[in-house]
Formats: sequence, C-alpha cells, structure tokens
Amino acid sequence: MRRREVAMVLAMLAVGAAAGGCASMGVQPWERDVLSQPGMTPGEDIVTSALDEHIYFSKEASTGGLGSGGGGCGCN
Amino acid sequence: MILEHLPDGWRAAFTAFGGPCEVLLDVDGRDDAAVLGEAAGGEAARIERLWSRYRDDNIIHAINHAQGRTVDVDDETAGLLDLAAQCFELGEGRFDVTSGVLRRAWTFDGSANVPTAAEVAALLSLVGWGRVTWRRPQLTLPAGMEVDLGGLGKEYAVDRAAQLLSLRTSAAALVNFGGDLRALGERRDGRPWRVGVEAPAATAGEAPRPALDLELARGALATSGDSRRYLLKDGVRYPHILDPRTGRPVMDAPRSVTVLADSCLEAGVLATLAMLHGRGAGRFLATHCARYWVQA
Amino acid sequence: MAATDGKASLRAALAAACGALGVAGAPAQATEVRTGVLGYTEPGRVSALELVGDAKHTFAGGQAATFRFVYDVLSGSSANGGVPAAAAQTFTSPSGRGSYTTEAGATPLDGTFRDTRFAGSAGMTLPWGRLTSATLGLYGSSEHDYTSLGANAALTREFNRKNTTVTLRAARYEDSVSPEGGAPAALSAMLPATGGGGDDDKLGPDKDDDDNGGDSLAKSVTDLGLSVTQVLGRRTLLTLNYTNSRVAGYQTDPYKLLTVVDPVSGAPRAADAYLFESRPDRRLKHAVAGELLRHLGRDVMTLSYRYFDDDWGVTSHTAELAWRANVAAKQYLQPNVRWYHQTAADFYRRWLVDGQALPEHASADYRLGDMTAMTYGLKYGRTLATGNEVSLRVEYYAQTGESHPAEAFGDLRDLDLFPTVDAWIVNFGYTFGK
Repeated sequence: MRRREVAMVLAMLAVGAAAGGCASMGVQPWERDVLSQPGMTPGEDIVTSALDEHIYFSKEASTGGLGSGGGGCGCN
Repeated sequence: MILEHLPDGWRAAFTAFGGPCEVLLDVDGRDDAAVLGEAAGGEAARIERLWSRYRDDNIIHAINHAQGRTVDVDDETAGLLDLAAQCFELGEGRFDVTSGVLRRAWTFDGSANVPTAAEVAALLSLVGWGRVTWRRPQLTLPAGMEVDLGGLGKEYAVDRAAQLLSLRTSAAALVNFGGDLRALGERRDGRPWRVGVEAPAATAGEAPRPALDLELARGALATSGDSRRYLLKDGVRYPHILDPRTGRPVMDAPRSVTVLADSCLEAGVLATLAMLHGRGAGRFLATHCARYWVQA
Repeated sequence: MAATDGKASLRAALAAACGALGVAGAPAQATEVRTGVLGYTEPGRVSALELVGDAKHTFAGGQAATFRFVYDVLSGSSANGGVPAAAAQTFTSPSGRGSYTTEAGATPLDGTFRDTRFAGSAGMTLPWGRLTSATLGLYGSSEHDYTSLGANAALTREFNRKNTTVTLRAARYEDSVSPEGGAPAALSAMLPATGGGGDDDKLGPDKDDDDNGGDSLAKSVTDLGLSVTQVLGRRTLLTLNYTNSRVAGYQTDPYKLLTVVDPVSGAPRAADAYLFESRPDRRLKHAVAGELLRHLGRDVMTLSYRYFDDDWGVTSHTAELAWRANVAAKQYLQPNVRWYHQTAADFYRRWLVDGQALPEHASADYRLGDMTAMTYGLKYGRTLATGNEVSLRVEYYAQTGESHPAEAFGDLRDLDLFPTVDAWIVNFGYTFGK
C-alpha cells in the first residue's frame, strides 16, 4: 500500500512541476530548430516501440510507463 | 501600423521588405487585432533588420565585409544558411545566395545597359556557394564575395509571422508580405481566404491587375517573376532572373510562376527554381509541385 | 523512374530543410505508412514472426486517422513451470489428448505452442482549436484461445507557447480466454493424456477446437494515464508519465503448472505431481516513468527510467539508454542498452512441497519470479533519395534469475532452476509517405 502512495505522490509532483514550475521554461518558436530534427520526438518510431512493448509485455511482469499501452493479448 | 475594420474581421497593414504587407485576422476585437498585427509586423521588422543588405550593423554586413575571415553566425542565420546550402545542391547550382554581386553589372531599370561578357566573367569569379566554407556556425567567404539572404528572408518572415500568430491565437489569419502569403485556417463562418495574385504588368507603366483569384484555407503561396524589371537592347528583352552559373539572365522563363506549398519558404524556393529552369519551368513545376500557376 | 525519385527527393529535402528551421507547414494532406517485420527467436524455445503496418492520414482540416494492423505467428517451446527432475518427466499437453516427455535434468518445456494473432486498431484525432486535440480509438485482436476488444480516448492540451504538452488517456479492454482443453480448476492436478496423440499434438487455429468452445473466461482491463512533455531548452525534452491499470477477471495462465515435490528428496511426488497454477483475479498496477531526450552536437541521447509496482507484490525498475549517432547526412547508428529488474509476485512458488497446505494462489511462471533482464541492441537507419526511410535493428535479450535458490533441497540443489532465457531479435522497418 505504501509503495503505491509513493508512486502517486511522485506522479503528482511531476505533473505539478511541469504545469506550474515550467511556465518559464521552454523555447521561443524560432528556437525549435533542434527539437524538430529526427530523433528528438518522444516515441518517434512507433512501430519499433510497439514491437518492443509486445515482447516485454509477454516476457516480463511489468506494463505501462512510456508506451501507448496497446491492446490485450494472451501472451501473458 | 494601420488597423482597418473589415466587414468580416480586421486588417493590419504595414511596410516591410520594401513593400506593402498585411495580416488579415478573423477576430472581433480591435485590441486582439492590434496585438496580433503588432506581433506579425514586429517579426517582419526583426527579420528585415537581421538580414538586410542595406544596413551596416547586422550579420550580413559582418559576413560581406569579413575580407576572407571566418565569421561566427547566430543560430537563426545558420538555419537559413543550411537551407541555402541545401537549395544550392537541390537546384544544381541555380539557387545561389552568393549571386548578388552580379547586380553590380546588371541593373534592371528598363535601359539598354547590358554588361559585356568580360564584365560578367570578372564578377562570376566572385559567385558560387561551392567556394564558400560553411561549417555551422562558421562561415568563411573568399574576399570580395557576398551573401544575400533577401531571396529567402521575406518568405521566412511570412512563415515566422504565421507561426507566431498560430501560437498566440486559434483564430484564422492570412499573412501576406508583398504577395508571398500563408493562410492559417478557414474563418469561423467556414470560408477560406480569397487571394488575388497580381499578374506582372506587360510594360513598366501599366498598372498591375489581379490575374489569379484563389481560395486558400491553409498552406502558402509564393510568386517569382516581375516583368517590370528588365533590360531592353536591340529588341531583346533581358528579364531580371540571373542564372548564377552563367551570370546572365534566364531568357526563356515565364513572366511569373506561383507555387502552392506547405510553407512559404518551400513555395518561394520552388518558384525561384522553376524560373531558373527557363523554358523548362513548366516541366520542373509539373514534376515537383502539386499546384502551381504559370503566366507566360 | 529517375524523374519520380527526383521529384520526391527535391520536395522532401526542401520540406525537411524548412522543417529544420522550425517553420514547416503542417502538410495540407499527407499519408504516412510505417511497416515493420520482426523475427524473434529463443534458441531451443520460442520463435515468432511479427508483421506490423501503421498508416496515418492527416486531413486538410488537421484531423488525423490512424490504422494499425499486426499479424504474428508464434511457435516452439515454453517453460511449463515444472521444476527439472533427476528422472525423465511426462506431461499431458494442454489439449488433454497428447503428452510430451522432458529428459532428466532438463527444464520442462511445453513444445506444443503454436499460435497466430491478428490485431487491428483504428483511431481518429480531432483538433479543437490550435492547442487542444482529442483522440478516439478502437482495438481488436484475436488468437485461437484469446480475444480482446478495446476502446480508448485521449485528450491533449498544449501550454506555455507549446512548450508543455499534457495528455490524459483512458482505455478499456474486454478480453475473453478460451483455454485449449478447457480452463483447469485452480491448483487441480494435471490429468493423464486421453488419446495416443504423442508429443506432436500441436495447438493451433487449424486444430479442432470443439472441446474449449463453451469454456470462455472474461477479463477486463481499465487503463488510465497522464503524461506531461516539457521542452526544457533548445536541445532538451523531458516526458513524465503515470499509468494506472486495473485488471479484473481470469488472469491465470491455463497452461502453466507447478511441481509438488517430495519434502525430503525434492523429486516430483509419486502421484498428482503437477498442479495447474492459480492467480488472483484482481490486479492493480502503477507505473511512473520519465524519458529525457537530449541533443548533443550531432547526436541524440535518450535516457528513460520506469518504476512499476502492483498489488501482486511485483516491483520493477527499468532503465534504458539509447544513443542515436547521426554518422552521415542521412544515416544513423543507434546502440541501446536496457536493464530490467523485477521482484517476484507474492504467490510465486518455484515448487510446492508435498504435505504442506496448498496456498490460495500459486504460480511457477518464471515471468512472475525474481528476474533481471538485459537488452543490447544496435539499429541502423537511413533516409533514401526518395525521402523514404529504412531501418534494421538487431537486439539480444537475456533473462536471468536464481538458478540455485538457497531454499532448494534434495535433488533440487543440483538442478538449474532458472536457466537463462536468451533471445535474438531482428527487425526491419520501412516508412514511406506522400
């Protein structure tokens, strides 16, 4: 039970920091040159991510995190 | 900046890049229109200052007066130089930001003042992106060579202004800097923007007339060609588009080319490249552009 | 042909060059198709081949439709949960008709696995103004003994000049399991084979499935997620994610067994030595994850970490580092390393001891045990003259656990109770669009 609470608090802290504290962070629109380069988008290669997630889902007990989740399968 | 209340929104007008610029906004409030208009106008002025070749306090001046020394350029200029390098390659040497020195010999003022082959040859030794050393962010130009980003700056400004507007408002808008334009969505009543592209006048005295009447909801238009600028000698008309590889005008180009693309920069580069293909312009456009208009 | 290539290359290169300036337009209309083929093989165990096609079409109004199709075939052997023994062991195959034998000292592997899975999903993203968008989607998948149907929704909103992106997600899946040979009762004994099928009694969609027709068990999954992506600077992007997943219903693996061993010798007991596993029918999972993308000169580093925790007692840590080295104008090499460690579920038992009271739930599935997994990979990608992209990736994946746990006794002390499972993964990707 305690672990779960820790996880919740961590998540809330992260969201709070991002929503509030980050208002001053970031870049101006003309400073997006680097961010628009290939490789700088989270989850850019969706097909490879989906294949990886499927493997890890069927071989390990953990799910969730950064991926999109995806649907159920009988592999676990 | 002049704000004008139209029946269906606001128009902010100002002068930049040596010509009239306007932003049409699908907003109700004067204050909103003023803020957005100022943002677009301010951005146009900033970019014009940044790359104008008529100033002595900017990066272009520093580059063109470096006398062979290496100049460190800012990120935004570096971005444009990267694009210039790419365009040089894609256009197989036709698109060249170092071709501006040719204007020392060619002044397209309607006169018969056509330079000699020797004059052109002398200047050609100062033209060619291939002679430039560009390793972002360091640019080294042989002494005497010049860079002119004017051929990209206005289109870039249109895209930047459009981008600034899209970050500040969800309202539809049309950015039009001297005929290079970009549309940001349909208006609230669902109508696209109505855009008139001027046909170049046949002679210097004739008033321009809208030759194209288009509807545009998103995307960008750029036009290349201006038949008011030419030389006339022995009955031969020399249009102002210069091929940097020969140092001479492209003789069989259409009078103007208008291209539709996702961004104004793309449209501008495609239109310019098409003109530089001379009589092959139509074929170039048919191969590379989804929508375009040619005035022969 | 050359003209077609030149066309795509000039426009794509120009669009990319303008994109690098950060002013590229959202394409008025575009379709992008990503395809992938993956080969997976655990030497001596499972092999799989997976095909994925993912298409996204963006409409002039900014709406986007996505479709994904996955097809995979799986065959080979997988650990049935039983412990190795000093003598050969015979197991009944899941259909109940055939049997297979495991040699002395070897880990019992059920070699009758063969399955084909089709999965498809479709989604629609609808912008609402310039800063908000909603995504709705449907999912379905089918295997010979498993069906999943799902729906998902997401809401995305941008803040701070689009430097902060917040996404809320929800998904619900309704699954149904129809185990081959029927669902065994919890911790019931494996019955002897009824037919003379032998160990070639393969499972599969081509097989007559009469005997599991009426025995379908339900499972539902409810996922909730929140993610925040923040631009930290011109070269740095951070994503934080929280997901919560609630599973209710049948979660037991109907094909997994536990060995009941003699309390002194550690050998499988004389009668009814193999019991079917049993897992709780409720599970609540949490995961918190972070991913940092950092551009370094020419390269891009991706560092991610995930903490996972559930009420079955599994806790895990996952850390991954990928380095995209842009070795030439349109080519990159991307090595990656992933480390994963999990603790065992509370009801995980490598074996059961004869004479002791049966627990309510027990599973010997090594995937619920203490385990460490490492992945090492290398990906090569390149953009072709046409603007299309190809990539090839090779990965090595190895799962290790306690081969000789301290509590082993009798024969068990000399047997490898957690042999390393290793796998090779090769995948090829091709992306094209217009």
